[in-house]
Amino acid sequence: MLEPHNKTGVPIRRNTDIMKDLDVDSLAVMDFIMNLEDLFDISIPLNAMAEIRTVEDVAEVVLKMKTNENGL
Amino acid sequence: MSLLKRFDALIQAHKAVSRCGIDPFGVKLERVLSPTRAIVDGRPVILAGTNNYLGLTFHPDCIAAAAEAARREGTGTTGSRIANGSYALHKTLEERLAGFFERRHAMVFSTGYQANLGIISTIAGPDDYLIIDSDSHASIYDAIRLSSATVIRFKHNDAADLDKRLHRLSGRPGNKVIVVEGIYSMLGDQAPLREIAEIKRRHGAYLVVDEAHSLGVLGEHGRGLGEHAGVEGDIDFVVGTFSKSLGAVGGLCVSDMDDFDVLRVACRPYMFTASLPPSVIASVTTALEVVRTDSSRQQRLWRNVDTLYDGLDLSGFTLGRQKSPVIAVHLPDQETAVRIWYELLEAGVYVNLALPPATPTGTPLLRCSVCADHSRDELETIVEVLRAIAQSHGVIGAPARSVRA
Repeated sequence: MLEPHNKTGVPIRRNTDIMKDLDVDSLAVMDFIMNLEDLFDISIPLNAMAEIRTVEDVAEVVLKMKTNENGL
Repeated sequence: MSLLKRFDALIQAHKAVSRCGIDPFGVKLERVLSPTRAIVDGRPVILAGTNNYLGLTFHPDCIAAAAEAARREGTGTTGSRIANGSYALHKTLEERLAGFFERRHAMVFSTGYQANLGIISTIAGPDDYLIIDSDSHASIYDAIRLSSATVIRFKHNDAADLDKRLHRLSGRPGNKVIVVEGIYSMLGDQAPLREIAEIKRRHGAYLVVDEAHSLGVLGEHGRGLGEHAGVEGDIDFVVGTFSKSLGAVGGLCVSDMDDFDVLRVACRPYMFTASLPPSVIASVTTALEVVRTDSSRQQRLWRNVDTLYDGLDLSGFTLGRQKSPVIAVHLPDQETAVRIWYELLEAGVYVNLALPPATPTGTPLLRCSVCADHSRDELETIVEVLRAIAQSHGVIGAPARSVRA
């Protein structure tokens, strides 16, 4: 899902910084997040977005939203 | 590292768009002659990028009221209404606004930006949810940063997506507040308000509608999309601005909510800024009366929208899907967009250049705004000039020729 936004072509790993390493702009990040929300049937609050930098961060937020009772 | 070093990328981007010879975000209108004419760089230009939908900036009654108020009560209030007190003029305008919108309460802000900032950040608390459209104006995005609520975005104008997100929240304590706009400022499209109102009722949510671009533009009485869609009863807070159809500056919020006036001592962007000067309050009060009593301006505006939209559409441009006084011309890339924008200005037509990431489409837009005072001649000139320039850049095809031999 992230690969179409990848402008630098570097391989995407756990610790890849989405905006910095892949040169993905904020608009594309939002698109990517919305697709994730659809896929996992969750809503990721904008408040949680500040903590997201790497692929691993994304996975953690999704997991939290999916399992935690505070998930939305 | 110097403090502003982190803006290097922005500085480079800004330099790149200014290469055409003029900074598109720093155009100097040497002299504004009328709602539709100005002098730029010594040349007369047609203004089609000012959001002056009803052309009220030069209405003689509004000018007279402003001048008279300045002479009578001075140039400024020199402080906030909480600290320095309200002038009778502020109170009168609030009564008129409540009357205009047929609401119990009205509150005036110093800008439309502050109205959104203040209302949205204040009405939702730490246990509440703000559910906003993804294409929301910057003032709404800034409001959520000031707010303590949990913020969720739904896909632009997608009522089903809003429904889905409210459904995920069902059973959770905390108020849910939906925020949408009457007319979206970049593409000119309207919120599907009837569906949104139905969803709001079904989920027991609250609804805020920002009528910044639709006040005076939509609805039989000019009350905006809420009136136009027949769902005003479902809107808990209407936010708006005086800086577009009312031709001045300032913001408003009207509501029927009990205890509304507590916002005057809770809403920081209302409390900690100077109130509007007498001249502005007076011109807005008069402009509101013009909108209330004279619907011919709204009719002229929509006739002009037809002329410009249809003219551009027939020329082969890709436009925003919904006809509105905001007409967005889609362009393929930034360099072409900047060049076309600049050549337009040189040819005497001023429109707005909107570049990603400020555009919802991720592509550049030439954003034209229509005025009730545009003459047919002016609108046809805009179409002809834009068509010729875009053709020379290969953005649209050459004019259709007769195929008969």
